[in-house]
Amino acid sequence: MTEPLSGGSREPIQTRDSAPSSLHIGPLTVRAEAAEIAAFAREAAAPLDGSVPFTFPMRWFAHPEIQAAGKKLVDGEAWIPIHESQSFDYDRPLDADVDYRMSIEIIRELEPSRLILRAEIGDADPCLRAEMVLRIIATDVAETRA
Amino acid sequence: MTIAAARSEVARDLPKVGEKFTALPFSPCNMDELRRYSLASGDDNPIHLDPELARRAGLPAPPVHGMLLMSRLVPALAVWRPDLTIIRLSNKFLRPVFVNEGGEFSGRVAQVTQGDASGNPAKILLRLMMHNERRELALLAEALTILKPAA
Repeated sequence: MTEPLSGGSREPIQTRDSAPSSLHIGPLTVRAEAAEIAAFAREAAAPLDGSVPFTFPMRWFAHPEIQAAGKKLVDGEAWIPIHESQSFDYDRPLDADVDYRMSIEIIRELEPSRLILRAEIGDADPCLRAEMVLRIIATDVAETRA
Repeated sequence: MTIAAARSEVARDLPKVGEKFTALPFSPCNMDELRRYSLASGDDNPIHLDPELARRAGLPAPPVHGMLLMSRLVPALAVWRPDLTIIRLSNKFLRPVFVNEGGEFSGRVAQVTQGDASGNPAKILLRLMMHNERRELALLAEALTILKPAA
């Protein structure tokens, strides 16, 4: 198994008449503030040396525009997302207190029910590519969120 | 990479394919830790914080955030091989680790690619795992690493 584990998301995308199958978002401006880095590092057992923790960009997937896109793609169901896989592929480390541009493609798959989020983060050149795969679990009490 | 740099990598003892890492414990996370991680990470998925919602989703208790498990792989690697830095990390979350449940990280060296004279550093591919207390494989990961620059 020498291929990246995140490479298994190439199944055909099934579409519905009532909902789009993918959305592009951004570029959004994202930034790792020193205070956010410190709070994240404490809870994630990352070094408290001011560097941007490896998994810190996870925070940026919670951007309201991304959550809204997820709701739009999982049209009308009561659901919760279960994290199925995640990858981060760095060309170079991110710096604290620097603005970056983040572009995201969100893909809706129906069989199995998933959202696949592919992000590219950088400035003039990409620093990081990240992929998040969320299995969509229907539930009668879930809040509809991404 | 210069010849001198390549010699330096050899001198710094690249891991050997098949080398195994001593299992490291993963301390259980309580509900308060999950709440704090939710705030710090922005991952406020209620399934991690609401036992009733977890039950309705078919789970006996709230699961620990997969990203929290993934995050803790990084310091585990620093214990095993502090001379390596991760440049790519891919995780599959296979089975849940529940609140107040511990586990164990383990791993081994899967592949070593030597650096070359055109500037490509040596790359070390690691396969990493986490088992929960029920001995289920909870997390399976591949980490592509390079040697940290010499001090």
